[in-house]
Amino acid sequence: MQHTIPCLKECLCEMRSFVATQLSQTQLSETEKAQIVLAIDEACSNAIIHGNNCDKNRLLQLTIDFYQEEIRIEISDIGKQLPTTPKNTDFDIQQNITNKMKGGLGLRLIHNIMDNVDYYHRGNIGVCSLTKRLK
Amino acid sequence: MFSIIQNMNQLLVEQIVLPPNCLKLIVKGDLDAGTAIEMDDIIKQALDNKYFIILLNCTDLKYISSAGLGVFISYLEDIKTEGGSFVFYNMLPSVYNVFELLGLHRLLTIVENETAALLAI
Repeated sequence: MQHTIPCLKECLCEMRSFVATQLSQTQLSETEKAQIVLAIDEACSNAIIHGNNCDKNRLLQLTIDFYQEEIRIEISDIGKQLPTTPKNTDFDIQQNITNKMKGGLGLRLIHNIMDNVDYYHRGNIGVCSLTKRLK
Repeated sequence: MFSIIQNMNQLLVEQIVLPPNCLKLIVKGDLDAGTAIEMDDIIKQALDNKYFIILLNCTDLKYISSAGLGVFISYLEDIKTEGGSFVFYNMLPSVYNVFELLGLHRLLTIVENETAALLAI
């Protein structure tokens, strides 16, 4: 299933609604569904804000594919490639508090929730790939 | 005691002053990358006005992302320096889980209801 939105923060709610509808057809727990919605929202937010500077003329395409053993999500755009690994792999939230940091938590959430996070190019399209294995 | 309604994109925040220095925020809707800046403005204004104890009624907070959490994290040191705190209550399990994913449930005051929140300040 695919859904496309312009690169606007105001469209994140619409994207979350689409994802929640798709996940409602699965046997995942409510917590797992909410976490996957969160991870996708974080990836889309990063792409919209940092990859595309909230350019409403650019598009963000989300694809969700359901398999027996996993859910694969692709977020595609023509924006600049973003890091997929958190800078501080030994994460300590206290550092964010001490340094009064507003950002830097989204990638950590994505990694905490998803089983695989990758970024690659398909021609001139950048693809952020997220995978959640099903138990 | 007075009340101000601030209408935002997907977020509605009602502010109620509890003298002498406490502000209660009734947060409704989604606190995401699109609405975090409005919450940031509210918290900044609260601190500028010397409200260092901020109660957050989260009954109708349906969603929070890292952008929303980042607002509270970025002001936590300032608010603690002034002897204050954020006190969250009536939080939905799905919202509480986002705090848990980052370990914030151990660092912030999150209680069951308003009675417990008032006892925590």
